[in-house]
Amino acid sequence: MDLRTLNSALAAGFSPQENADRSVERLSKDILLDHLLALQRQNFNGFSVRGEVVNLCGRQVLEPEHFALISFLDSCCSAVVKRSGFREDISQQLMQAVAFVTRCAVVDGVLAISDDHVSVRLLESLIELVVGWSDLRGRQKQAPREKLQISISSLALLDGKQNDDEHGACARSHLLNLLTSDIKDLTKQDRKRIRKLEQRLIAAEEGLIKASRSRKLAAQMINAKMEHQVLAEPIVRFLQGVWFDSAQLILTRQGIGSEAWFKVSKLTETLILTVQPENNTEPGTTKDLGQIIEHLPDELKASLLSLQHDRTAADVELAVIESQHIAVLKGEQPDSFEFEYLPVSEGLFDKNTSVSQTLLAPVEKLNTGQWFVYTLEGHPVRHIKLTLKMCDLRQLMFTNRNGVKVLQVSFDEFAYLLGSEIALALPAAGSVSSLIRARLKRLVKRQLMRDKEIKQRAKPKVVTPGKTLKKVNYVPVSAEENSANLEECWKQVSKLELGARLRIGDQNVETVEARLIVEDPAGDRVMLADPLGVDLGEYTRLQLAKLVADGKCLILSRGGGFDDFRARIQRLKTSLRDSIT
Amino acid sequence: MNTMTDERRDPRFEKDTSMFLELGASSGDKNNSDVVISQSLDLSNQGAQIVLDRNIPEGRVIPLCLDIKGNKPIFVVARVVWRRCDPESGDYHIGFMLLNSRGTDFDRWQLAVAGLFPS
Repeated sequence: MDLRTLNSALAAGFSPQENADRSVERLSKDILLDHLLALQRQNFNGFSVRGEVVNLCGRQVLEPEHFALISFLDSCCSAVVKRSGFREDISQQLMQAVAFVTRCAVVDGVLAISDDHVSVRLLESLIELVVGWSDLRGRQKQAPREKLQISISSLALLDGKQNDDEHGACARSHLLNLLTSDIKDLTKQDRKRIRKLEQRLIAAEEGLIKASRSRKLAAQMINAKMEHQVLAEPIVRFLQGVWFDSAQLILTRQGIGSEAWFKVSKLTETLILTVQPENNTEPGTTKDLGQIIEHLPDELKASLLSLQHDRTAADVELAVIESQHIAVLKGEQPDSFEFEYLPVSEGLFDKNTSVSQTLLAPVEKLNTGQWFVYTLEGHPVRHIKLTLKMCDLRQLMFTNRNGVKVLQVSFDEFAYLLGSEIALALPAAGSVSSLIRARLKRLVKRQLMRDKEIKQRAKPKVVTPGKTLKKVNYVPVSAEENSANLEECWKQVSKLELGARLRIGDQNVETVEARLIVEDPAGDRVMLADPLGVDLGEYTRLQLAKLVADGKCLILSRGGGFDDFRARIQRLKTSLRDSIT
Repeated sequence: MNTMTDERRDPRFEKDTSMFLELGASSGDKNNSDVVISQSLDLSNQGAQIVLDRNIPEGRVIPLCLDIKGNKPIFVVARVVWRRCDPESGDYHIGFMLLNSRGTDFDRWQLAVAGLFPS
């Protein structure tokens, strides 16, 4: 890659400095380096090295390549510090470290900086040192703070004179490596301290999460099988009592894909079937039922894990089932019991809300130990660490710097949090270097494409908007129409809002369900679409009213601006606020 | 109906942001349509490119919600104007064109997207 392309790429990636015409005096490299050194020793306002340098420049302007370079590093390093959500004093010190990285970049060049430069590694280690710092207490809190302070002061002592010769540059590198190691040692010690706490927490939480999940799945299964069934009270008590307990135990111990779970599910269905009164009305049913009932108690007993150590209690429960079977075989009608379903907690998402695999992909790749900034509106910024990832149960648990649990969510829920930037990954070791490298690559790629386009002068493509699909056949109303009826229909149609549901078509032919999907703000035209979004055409409200009057359109609901959609999203956001510890 | 004819005229801002799409059917009197949460790749003041794990045919008209952090959710209706499948990932890149409708946040979308572009 030639230097011209690299400089052009950087320059094209960022707006030029204001008032930077050739007549204005340019700042020399040496003075720029002095300004950057000064920034390492003073307080920063905000998160822009470029902004601070420009202020120090006064009437002078930076050389275009220096301006572009500093802008580029702001977009990588300063942006990382900004979005990490540190307390102001810590952010300021980290920005002083960014000023140092920038100084190294001016001396060594952007290619060197993008190649795992020692100054970038130092910045990463400082960020790692102070992440989650606000949750610490006492001595644990003091040590990283002091280390940060000393490290920043040390960087300010490297005044650039070491770069005058090769030995000096090596010495600088060596000192930075020593400093980085020293910082990492403290971080390692702290991690070791927390590790035992985290391991105990993981052991406890894994069990709780598994149990909670088993409870939910068992309840969902039993509720589904009981739905719309006529059941006597003893059967309901059995299913929602010892059978529910046993199902949970099987799920926890053997898992959802196990033979044992499949058997429990089938047995639930079979048991409910065998106590339904309508079985007796079918020919040959009594004989079939008799064969099933003969073996059922033994099969139920084998799966009654919750009573495996109390055979007497198990026999008592099964005796109740047996008496119900006898009643059914005699043709007696069971007393139908009005029951409530087992409670099931839905989590953030209801059963009709899902997350696209494209959002889930980053979550699948997460590793434990990774830190995130959690910035939910109305809450203080938190740093949280992924401590437990349960792929089989699709659950994630996060802790703070003290090893205390702060959040537990499903994969889907965290995918949403990442996608909406409520959770943002904090830089792990090597990630700032990777970011610099990736962004530089992208800028260069765009520059090469621009150079190519200038040569080829490609025309932009024009995309044809999607066609309107079939319109409903509209039959004009005859002159003998009932105008009073039409007026009434017009009143109804004029009140229809976005989301209104209709049924279009003659009752003697196929009808189609439609929704009012667009209301023209300029006039009284509306667009209808079916529930899958297939365009059903545009109508004036008068045309719709005539369809209603002719019996070719039935209004099912008035609509309310997609209230249900809005409400579901609002519920999700409210649940999110309540979910963090 | 006041709709755009060529969404490619507008500058695009590359922005990963959460999008909610209301897909699927309601049944009976209850609206229990499916909501899918995905992500935009870029936004313009008249549309968006969204990446999704499933196909939506061209011409479909879908309610969308744009969820930019720090803003109230923005509800709009949009039509699928193009789509392509990424052969490597199997994901679908889908181009949506906004439809200006009463009862939606069409104006707020335009303000929000204009605010994303650097001044």
